[in-house]
Amino acid sequence: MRVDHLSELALEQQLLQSTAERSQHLESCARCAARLQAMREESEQFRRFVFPATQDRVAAATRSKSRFGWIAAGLAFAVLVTVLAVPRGPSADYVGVKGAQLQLSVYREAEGVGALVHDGEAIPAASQLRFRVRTVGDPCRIWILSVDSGGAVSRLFPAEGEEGGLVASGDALPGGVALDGHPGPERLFAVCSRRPLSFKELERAAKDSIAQGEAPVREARELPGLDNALQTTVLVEKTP
Amino acid sequence: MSDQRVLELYQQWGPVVYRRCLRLLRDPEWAKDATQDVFLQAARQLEKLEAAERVLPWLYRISTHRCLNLRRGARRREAHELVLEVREEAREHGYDETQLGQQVLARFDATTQAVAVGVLVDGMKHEELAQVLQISSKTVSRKLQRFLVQARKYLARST
Repeated sequence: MRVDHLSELALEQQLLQSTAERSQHLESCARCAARLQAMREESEQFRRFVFPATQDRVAAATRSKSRFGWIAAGLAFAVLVTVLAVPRGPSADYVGVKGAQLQLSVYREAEGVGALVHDGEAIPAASQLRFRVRTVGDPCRIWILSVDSGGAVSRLFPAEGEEGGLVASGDALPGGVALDGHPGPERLFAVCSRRPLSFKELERAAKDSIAQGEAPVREARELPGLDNALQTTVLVEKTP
Repeated sequence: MSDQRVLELYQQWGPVVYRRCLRLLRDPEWAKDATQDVFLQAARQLEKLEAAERVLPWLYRISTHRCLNLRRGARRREAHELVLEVREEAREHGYDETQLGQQVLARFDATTQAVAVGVLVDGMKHEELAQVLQISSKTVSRKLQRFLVQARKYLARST
């Protein structure tokens, strides 16, 4: 026989305001009653652990936003960065935009706003990052990836797809990434290619050219063998 | 808004956000950070939406989107840490797996992910979910069907 259980949202509603219909169901449904009890315990966890640990930051961040307004918070995200990269070593048949450049801006979420991360800056190892890129010339397909001292190559943008993300210059890239929480240097590369470039090619270029260890990550400047792709890089030093 | 008012709202609505984040992220520390993040995003609006019946679906929606977004970004966490338990009722929809892994979810757009999680993990009815996500019931059905067909194909290939 089919049994209709209360959804998560219905249980939330019951916690907010009990109704006779839901109460009746809960009396005869052990599963829903158990889930409701677990939700009450999670409320208690919030009160005992989460609220005390975060209330100061919440109040401070809200105060800051009140003072400068939401526009200012948006502008903080929009402040331009950073690292300029001139394409290196184009092949002989390269036909590109004169003075073509690629800029990568990296922002760390801090107290509700985006804080610009400078090349080589120390940041918390589990930071959440967002990106903005600027290109000169025709639209290109953007990849952002990173390499850490363990030799791990991570795909940061786009999260899906096989050819890189086609984005307009100056756009904040959708989504974000959370760093892995392990201290040590991590080098981020932005690669902008007019031709479809697979992540596997980039991964191979990174693995082949950057040895494991902290020094190789800090010293790396480019991914070799990417033909006419523009690229730039930003180093972050993840701290405990 | 005064600090006192902000913290009152945080005490009132923080548990809702925390529970949602904990359910989707399955990690108390991660959920704690996400809760703070979602609340900061919501604080101003919360004061305007005084009626609880309006606040709850809205908070539920933004918490869901934010946490699914975090899951998408957390590429280095082991896939098994990001597995969601599927409700028994999901079999009625033709989803026979007991778990919903990030490797499956990640193949779909944000709204389809929210639909799949809403129906299969949270046990929401189509109408209920449509109201929360502010899309039509028809769109919920369409996206769920698309998810089910493609997820089954993917799971069949990967076994």
